[in-house]
Amino acid sequence: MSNPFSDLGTFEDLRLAALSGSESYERYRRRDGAQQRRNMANVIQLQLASRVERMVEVAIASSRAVLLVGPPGTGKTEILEQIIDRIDRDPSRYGFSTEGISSTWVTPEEEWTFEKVVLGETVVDGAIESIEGDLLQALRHRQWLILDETNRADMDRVLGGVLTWLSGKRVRVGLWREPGASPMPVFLEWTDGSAGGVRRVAEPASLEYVADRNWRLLGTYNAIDAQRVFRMGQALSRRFKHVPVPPASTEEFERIIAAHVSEESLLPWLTTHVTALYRAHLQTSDAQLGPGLFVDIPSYVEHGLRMSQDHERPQESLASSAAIEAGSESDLANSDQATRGDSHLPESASPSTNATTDLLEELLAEAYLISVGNLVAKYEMDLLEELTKSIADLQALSPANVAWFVANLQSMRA
Amino acid sequence: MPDEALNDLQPWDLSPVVELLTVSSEFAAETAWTSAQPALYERFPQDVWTATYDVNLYGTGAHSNLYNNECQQAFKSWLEDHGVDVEAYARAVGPVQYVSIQLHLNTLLERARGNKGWRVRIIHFPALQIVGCGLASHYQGTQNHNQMGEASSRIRVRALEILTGTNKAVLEEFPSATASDWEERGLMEHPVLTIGPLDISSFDDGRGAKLRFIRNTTVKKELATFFALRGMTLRDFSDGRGASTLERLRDVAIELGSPTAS
Repeated sequence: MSNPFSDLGTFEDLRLAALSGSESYERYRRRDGAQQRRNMANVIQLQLASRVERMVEVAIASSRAVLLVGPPGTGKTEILEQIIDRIDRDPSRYGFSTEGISSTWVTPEEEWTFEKVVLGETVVDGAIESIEGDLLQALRHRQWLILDETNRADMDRVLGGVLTWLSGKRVRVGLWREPGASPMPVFLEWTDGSAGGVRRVAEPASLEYVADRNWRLLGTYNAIDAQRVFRMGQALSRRFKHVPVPPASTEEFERIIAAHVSEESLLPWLTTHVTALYRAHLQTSDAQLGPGLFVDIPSYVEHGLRMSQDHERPQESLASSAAIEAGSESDLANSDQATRGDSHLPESASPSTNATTDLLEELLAEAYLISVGNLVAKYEMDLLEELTKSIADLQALSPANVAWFVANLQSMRA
Repeated sequence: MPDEALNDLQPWDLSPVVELLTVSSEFAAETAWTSAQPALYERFPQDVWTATYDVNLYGTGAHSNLYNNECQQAFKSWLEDHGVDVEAYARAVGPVQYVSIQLHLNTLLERARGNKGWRVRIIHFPALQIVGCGLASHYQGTQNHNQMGEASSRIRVRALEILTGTNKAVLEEFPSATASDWEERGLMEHPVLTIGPLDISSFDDGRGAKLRFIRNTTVKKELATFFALRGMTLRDFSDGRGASTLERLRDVAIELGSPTAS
């Protein structure tokens, strides 16, 4: 609620804060300001996501396999979670005939194979036994299979054996072996009805894993997660409907990041610099990242600054004591603030001095490194050079801190 | 032009409201209210607003307290020099300390009558024939009037951040209440030279009455809750200034109470 006068509760919050003295009121104003910025950021994020969400909803309602594709930090997983939850609450609205949606989430790993996902084998007491992979288990339990970050595994290799099935046809995926029985073929198939699951066919003996009209294979995919990406081949890729999840524009990002700044005095500086970092990524092809990876940067900087000032506080207190003895009224006020250990940053936190600016720039570089360094460390050298040039051109980081950032990427590659 | 705007171009007869503001008893107020209420709803439509009123009578010992404490030494000496004792002063001040009218936005009404929210408020002090008009919140028993006054100042600053255009300009003309209003002559644009029938023009070189001469402690708190307040004489109020002031405050309140305003 941005207008406290339009609601009795919020007005009373304002009135009580106004009554409780200037310090309490200033805290209320900071919280109120941060809340307003958060509200604005939520509106922007909702506007951003609304069309994407519609595409995801319609794609899931109408297609067997859907991938959300976009850079890291764009909220693909959150969007998918929300929409599955929404469908679960009202499946019929989306054309599903089940009472609810059950899903199983797995995050692919580099060593994934067909055997892990579809049909594998193990040895028990010296005999070979088949084991269901994630896909077969999901079909047995009639759960949607959600592959989060499919780019982490070589999905061409993992799902290569089920490509034909993904295009809607019956396919044999191997033999089912169990003690005391002859091996029998395992088939994957589809039905337009709602009788999915597993059925054992007597003649000829076989196992059929059936995906019914209510079953879905969904996933997320970072096309730009360089180095670690296993690019999906065309054959597999065309079996999925791809919904793009683009990163926010810099204008949208600026408002999103403002919502994550608690200290009013730091708002302009942090917003400008973090947005410049985001812009540097956005305008560097193949280095695009979503807002989600940047939103914790302000908190790191604010904590760092506060802790730095806490270390200096004993000296401030001595100085204030001297001022009290001298009877300076303004210094008395400062002393009062220091004695109460106020949790917010004092006026001196605003980047008005060289020392403060230097510290802020260092903290910003550190926050940037720990937020995105693991991704940037994997960039090819020419991409890294292009990115750091952009960061320097936009004055997002000082030249010294750009150099420091690059130097520290080395240890992240190890 | 919207109907309301057209309506605003017609003269607004506030005489039933003035009649309510000048009653000398609660019983008279009940009668006056039956005419004042529809007059108020002419410009504060009932589907948007709810009007209420209060009559505040001086309590036992209140006049004596005014005479002995609030009148301060200089005025008390003047009274004594002019043969005005406690009883005579009580007769001059009269039985009604103030009459107040509140106009609540219905959207904020549910719990707003007493100790929640804010409203357009008119407060008349019959002894001085001074009317204060503005926007006010409320106080609770233990809250100090000086703290409340500071709070009202902060609330006004926040309101100015919400308002736009003409409404913002209007609020800028209405300061929040200060000690000058509840202690001194802040509500008086011109010297008030009578207290009831008592001529005090020779007091203090004609600077006139202070509000404290006729008000008790409760009034300090009541006034301190005004985050927008201007005073005028009852005559000015009834001669058209009251109508235009209330219409402007109405427009300010509507914007301020809108959830879409920010």
